[in-house]
Amino acid sequence: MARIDSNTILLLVFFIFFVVLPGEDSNKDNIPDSEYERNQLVMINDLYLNEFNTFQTAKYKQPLLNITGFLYTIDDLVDNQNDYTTSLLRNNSNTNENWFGYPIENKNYDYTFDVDHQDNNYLPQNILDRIYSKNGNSIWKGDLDHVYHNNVSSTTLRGLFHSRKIQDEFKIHMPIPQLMKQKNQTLDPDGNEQKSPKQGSFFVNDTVLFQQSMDMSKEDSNLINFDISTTIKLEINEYFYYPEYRPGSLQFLSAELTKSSARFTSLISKILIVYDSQTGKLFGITNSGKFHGLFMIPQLFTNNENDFNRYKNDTVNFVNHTYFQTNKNQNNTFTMDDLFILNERSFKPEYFLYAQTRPISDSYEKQRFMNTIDLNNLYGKDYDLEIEDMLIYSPNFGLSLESTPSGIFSEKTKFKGVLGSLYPMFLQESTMKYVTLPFICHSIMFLLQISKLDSPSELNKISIDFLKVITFTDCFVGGIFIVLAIVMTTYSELTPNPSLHYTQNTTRAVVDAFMKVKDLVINGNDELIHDVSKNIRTTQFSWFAVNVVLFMSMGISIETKVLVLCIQSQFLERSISWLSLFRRFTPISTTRTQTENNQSTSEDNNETSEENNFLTNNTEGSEDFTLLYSKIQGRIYTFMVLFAFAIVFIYSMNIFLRHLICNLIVLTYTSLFWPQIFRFILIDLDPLTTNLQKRFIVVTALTRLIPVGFFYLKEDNFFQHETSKNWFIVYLVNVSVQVCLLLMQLKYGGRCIISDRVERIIEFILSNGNKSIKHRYNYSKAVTRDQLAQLGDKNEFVCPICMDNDDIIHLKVSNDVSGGEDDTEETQLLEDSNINDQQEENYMITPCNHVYHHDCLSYWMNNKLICPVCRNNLPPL
Amino acid sequence: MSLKRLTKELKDLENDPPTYCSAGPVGDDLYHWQASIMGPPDSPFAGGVFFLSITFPPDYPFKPPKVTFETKIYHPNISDNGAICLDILKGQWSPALTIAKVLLSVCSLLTDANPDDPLVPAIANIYKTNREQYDATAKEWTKKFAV
Repeated sequence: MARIDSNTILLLVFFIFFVVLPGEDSNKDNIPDSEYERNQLVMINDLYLNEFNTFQTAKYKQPLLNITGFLYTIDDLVDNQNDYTTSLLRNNSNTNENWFGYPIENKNYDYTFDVDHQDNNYLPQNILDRIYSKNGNSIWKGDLDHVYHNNVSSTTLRGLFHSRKIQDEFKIHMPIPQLMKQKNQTLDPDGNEQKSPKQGSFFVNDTVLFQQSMDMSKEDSNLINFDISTTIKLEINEYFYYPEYRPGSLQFLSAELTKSSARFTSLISKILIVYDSQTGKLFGITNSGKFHGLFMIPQLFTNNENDFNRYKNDTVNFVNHTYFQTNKNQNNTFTMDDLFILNERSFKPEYFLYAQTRPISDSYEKQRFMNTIDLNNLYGKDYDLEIEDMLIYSPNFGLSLESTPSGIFSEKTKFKGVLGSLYPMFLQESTMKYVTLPFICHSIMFLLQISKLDSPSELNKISIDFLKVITFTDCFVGGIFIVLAIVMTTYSELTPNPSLHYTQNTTRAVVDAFMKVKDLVINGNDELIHDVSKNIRTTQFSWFAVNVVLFMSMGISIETKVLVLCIQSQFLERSISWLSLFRRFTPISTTRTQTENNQSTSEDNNETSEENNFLTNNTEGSEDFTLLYSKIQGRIYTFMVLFAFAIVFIYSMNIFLRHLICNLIVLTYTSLFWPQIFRFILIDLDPLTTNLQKRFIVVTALTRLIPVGFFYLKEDNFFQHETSKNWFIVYLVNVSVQVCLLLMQLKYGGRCIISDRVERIIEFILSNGNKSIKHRYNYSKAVTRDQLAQLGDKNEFVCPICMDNDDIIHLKVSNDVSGGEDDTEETQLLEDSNINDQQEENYMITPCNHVYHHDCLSYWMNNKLICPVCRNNLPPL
Repeated sequence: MSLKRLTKELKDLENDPPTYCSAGPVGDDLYHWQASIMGPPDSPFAGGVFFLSITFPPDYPFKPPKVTFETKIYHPNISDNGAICLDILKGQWSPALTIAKVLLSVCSLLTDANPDDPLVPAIANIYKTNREQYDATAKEWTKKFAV
């Protein structure tokens, strides 16, 4: 039977992640459970297509007949149940085509729907006056004489509203489709199960349900109370790209309208925002299930034929791209997901939003905007964009909110002008700024630091765990980028409907994107493959993520190599440098002989046997480092992918668990210096003997904090991690404490941060138990004359390295620490070595009792930690 | 440091020359030496005199010298262009080694080749399988190039 090793376990974990990957609800949502639901889908697709076709032929001032709703109002259904089914698929006598919806015969629409309104715009006159009036008080002042901002993208607009209820209530009752409620499965008197309805028909006799929905709608409208000083926040969170977009075309965005009073914030409505950069108009319409907002745009937001046609064309282009381009099979345009959402939205009140942005006043900016070439290079520049005036109108309960003349959106709001796919671009920019750049800085500092760690003694002071934490946490960041790459690649194209539920919840998009990938892998969905490959070809932003993943892998592989080199160095006492990053690992066979040597010499020398034992233990346990490297490397990349899955998995957990795990991960991410601090305590660092750079520590700490700050402080971070200042402060304190401790250690020595008592305990533990922690060997022990005279004659000392001979007859050499000796003699004897006051500092004695000049041996030990004479391993300096 | 040590080594070599070898600098450059090795009597190289060129790195006792044969020799551990496969000239170098010791090691390499770590696998193969042929060829080469 095959041995189960850690790799198998990794593979198993991987597999488990893959199988238990969340998103079963999206699976359920997207596949109709029953014939009934399938019919509903087909129906809604037909309706949508029908609406779209009608929309394409719509003319200015033509009543909104077929395009204002999926079906009938509740009132219609309740009042007129019998006519309902017959009028559903009746022939239009004029066109001889099947058509749905309005107007129902014999129904008086004066109350609900102002069909005959000659001035178009199904709005009460006072609202219309407010929007279009010529007396200067109108909302929309925009004209072609001014230059407006080209683009509006992910941003937040905040402002104070003063609410004003309109006295004469004028409500437009939009039809509420009852899409999802399936009639309870009832049995016929005969006992046969009732057949599911055929395509194109609805259950209409379930009046209780309809009644309920009416109540809900009332409830909802009651829920929204506007105080005098309610702050309305308009948050634009997604930009929809369509290929026909040119500067000057309409921009389609999705936004959330929230209100916040002194006590709490609540979502008013999700709104589809359209921005007309030619006139600076910003208008929004609730993307409700009662009608399709897109098709209402020309009718509701224009008052002349030119605008009407322009808006219509742009909308047609947009719809063509988003709804019909990705999926030729129009029956699949809508999914069950969309049905649920439409159904849910049917009960929410609608809002129309009219806003006017302030034209660009600066003449230089104006020129820039006028210059069409420059229009393509707006990316990365911030513009101050102000809303001058705004009005929100709800046709459901006759409520209109308008800004006070001065108070509206008093804060200047920053907008980013971007051409192209704004939301991904925004992600790209923010991840570049907050994650990738810090990582690049970190990598550069890491390499600079490595170039300083050029001796085995240096490396011995570095904790392997420290490197491990760095490597594995960076590998976690790599995992984030894998997620990003997958989401960016699958994000826009794999969700055929730009319905707004993805925009608010990137998490959902992440999970969904992974579900698609899973689907791709398991079922081999050809369409998906086509979509993904097309997406990779056409969108540049996915390349960004892919490149970042590649870059991260490169960085991580360097880190891994350093890790292994460091392990190798601590086993074999070799030095590493820049160059060793590109070298192959040297085979280890040579160390075996050293080990044998060790054993033979350690018998002679009881004093040093302990020292040697440790070294031999090390070499016995060592493996081929190339193997180790490839093992770790492989594991790192597996972990990277695994982390990517883990991230998705974590996001599907409930909020408590998710926060717990997130914080644990970030805690690990920010605790990288602790192992190093402990290492310094254990080896009792001498501050003079290490090259660990202060700037490396500080920069690494900063580069760790920036991404954490991004996720914990900025609301629009990629994962929409809940912002939490408190946690960020925890991490900040954690990192600062570590940096302070390390810097203190580097200045005052490894044990300056602990009390004497703790030091004694550590000494006790070190001396008694754990052999794996090395004692510092003292090379500057006093040497005896016999030891000095080992190689040369009785009277002189010959250094085996430089082969200089020192006359030792005049030296006061004894077993006790020799104190004063003649400096002048020393000067004569040791011509080319640095003269020290203390004689014992001129010599170094190895554990194997070989004596060298201090300079000679320390120079050699930077090269290799073996005794030049007997090839015993040497403890590092 | 390296210059000093090289001078010292040269002095030692003059005072106490090794049995089958001799070495000395080429011209005034102390970093470039020439050495000669007499073929050890119990080897097929007996009777030949082999010249070697030695180049010392500037950080000499800490880095091994580069030693190459200038005379062609038929040996599994010495390549056609004279490179020597000897561990102490590579990873196993120690600053306590002197050029005399290195030359001595080369001498003993001539006597006892190490066919398990060959530089010329073909010769090593013959060495292992057909020792007589190896001896004969080596003798022939010695006669041809080193006498």
